[in-house]
Amino acid sequence: MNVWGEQLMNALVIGSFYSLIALGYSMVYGIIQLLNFAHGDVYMVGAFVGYGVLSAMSGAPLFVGLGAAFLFASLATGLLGLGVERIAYRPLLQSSRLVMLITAIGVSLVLENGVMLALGPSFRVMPVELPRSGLSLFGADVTYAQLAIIATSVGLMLLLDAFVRRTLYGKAMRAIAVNPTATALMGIPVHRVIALTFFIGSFLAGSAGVLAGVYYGKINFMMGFIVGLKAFTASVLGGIGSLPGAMLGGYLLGFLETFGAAALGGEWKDVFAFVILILILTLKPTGLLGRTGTERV
Amino acid sequence: MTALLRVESLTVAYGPVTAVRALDLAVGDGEIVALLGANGAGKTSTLRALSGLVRPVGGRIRFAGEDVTGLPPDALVGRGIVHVPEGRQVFGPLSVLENLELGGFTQRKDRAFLRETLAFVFELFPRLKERLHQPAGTLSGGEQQMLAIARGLMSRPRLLLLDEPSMGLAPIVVQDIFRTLRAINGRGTAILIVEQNAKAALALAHRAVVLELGEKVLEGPSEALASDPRVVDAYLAQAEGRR
Ligand SMILES: Nc1ncnc2c1ncn2[C@@H]1O[C@H](COP(=O)(O)OP(=O)(O)OP(=O)(O)O)[C@@H](O)[C@H]1O
Ligand SMILES: [Mg+2]
Repeated sequence: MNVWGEQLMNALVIGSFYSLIALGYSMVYGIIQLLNFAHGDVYMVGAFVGYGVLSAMSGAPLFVGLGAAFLFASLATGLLGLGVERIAYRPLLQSSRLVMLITAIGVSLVLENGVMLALGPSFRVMPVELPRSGLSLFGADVTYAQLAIIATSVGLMLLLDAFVRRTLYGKAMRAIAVNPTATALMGIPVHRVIALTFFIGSFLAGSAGVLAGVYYGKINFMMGFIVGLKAFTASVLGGIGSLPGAMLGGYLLGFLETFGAAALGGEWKDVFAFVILILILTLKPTGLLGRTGTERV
Repeated sequence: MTALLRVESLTVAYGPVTAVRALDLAVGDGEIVALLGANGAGKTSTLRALSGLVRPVGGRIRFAGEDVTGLPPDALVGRGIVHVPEGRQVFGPLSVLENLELGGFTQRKDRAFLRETLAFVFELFPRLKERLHQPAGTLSGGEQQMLAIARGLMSRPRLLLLDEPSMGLAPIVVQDIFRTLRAINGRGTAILIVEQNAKAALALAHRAVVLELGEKVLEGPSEALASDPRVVDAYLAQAEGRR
């Protein structure tokens, strides 16, 4: 048994969740300078949609059910992000950032309480059991489920990176982050690109939600709250607005938290994130890869 | 000459501040018109209304025979009006090529068109071709202005709105850019140019319009305005003095 190796796998899994969520925070901040505090709740909604799909497909083979839950939940949360942007944020684009921030907190409350009223406040158990099989890597027991979660997350991040760097809409996103007015003058429909950014960010948060729901086995309407704050911390740690920063920040936080808790005891786990947040905000508010007058998205 | 752009009684306001008042303006097909005036005269506001960045509070804008008043920027770029803004505003972290690609956004489905247009702008601005993969923010001021114009040309507009392309540039660079503007016009693009450098603008333009506090106070052929004492006193004499 290699305890450190197993902790490393835990760190990578939890870091994947943080990174996927942190990306949405960073993309939205980069493009409209909004701290979208409802983003953690999108993750929660993703887990619940996944729960619904898995419950409906309880007779189907495990992989079919998981695949359907993953796809359906990600798409549904992507659409949720589109709806939230259209209804709550777009009318406020010209108003102050504080007004948008308060609106984001409002959206968060609506999503949390909406799910609570519809489905109740208690924890629900995901209707799947992940196989515990795996392999031994350098003496550490690693499950296939862990490997699949990490591979899926990294795959999504690589796709996002290619999208933002290579496609015209990705370039338009980066252009809006630099100068929305000049972007509009190119004949680019700025609102449509902002909506697309919300779709992608929410899609990623929703994927993290299903993956985490299935991995931990239990979900509840408040599950996005702390995770959302931690993913926010991760994006600030990496440099909010920077996509590589969000990925780096997510994994770094996963490592610090996992190994910190292993060294000091599990009850310290949640403390790390917030100590890091305070340290970064006081010592280096632009974060590790934050913008130094260059690119934000 | 048939008017490509015809503006009637255009009024632009920002809340209580009226920036442009009842302006009539026309730009003919293939014509170059200079829009002159002191700081705060309403030149930029006029261009912003023409490109859809601000919605006019009054008046009508007709372009190529169509009423385009109040259309958003993307619709106007699609119809052939492109605004190259004050202060260049290139996308600094993006490469020169990416800036150009974004300029061609409305034509994104027509690859052949984009390839040909890219070749055309490289012919006009060979310097950009050498700096294709460099971040636009690392270009010199003159090169950034070239990029701003080239980016605007990528959708092959029928009317180019230029806001102070000479701003902050050395005289020799300004000469170079104005020569290129003449070449662009020679290919059939009409130009409405706002300039502080009245001398260069009058030398380039066919006609000129002078704004003062949001209202048109003078209009006529460039040669006539260049020798009009009111223009000489207000915009040319002092500019000579500065040099
Ligand atoms: N966004 C705005 N909000 C309020 N007032 C504005 C705004 N933009 C311009 N103005 C005002 O409108 C008037 C015209 O401004 P505009 O920028 O059109 O002038 P300009 O002729 O381009 O001047 P300059 O030569 O300095 O660029 C000015 O009084 C200016 O203060
Ligand atoms: Mg101006």
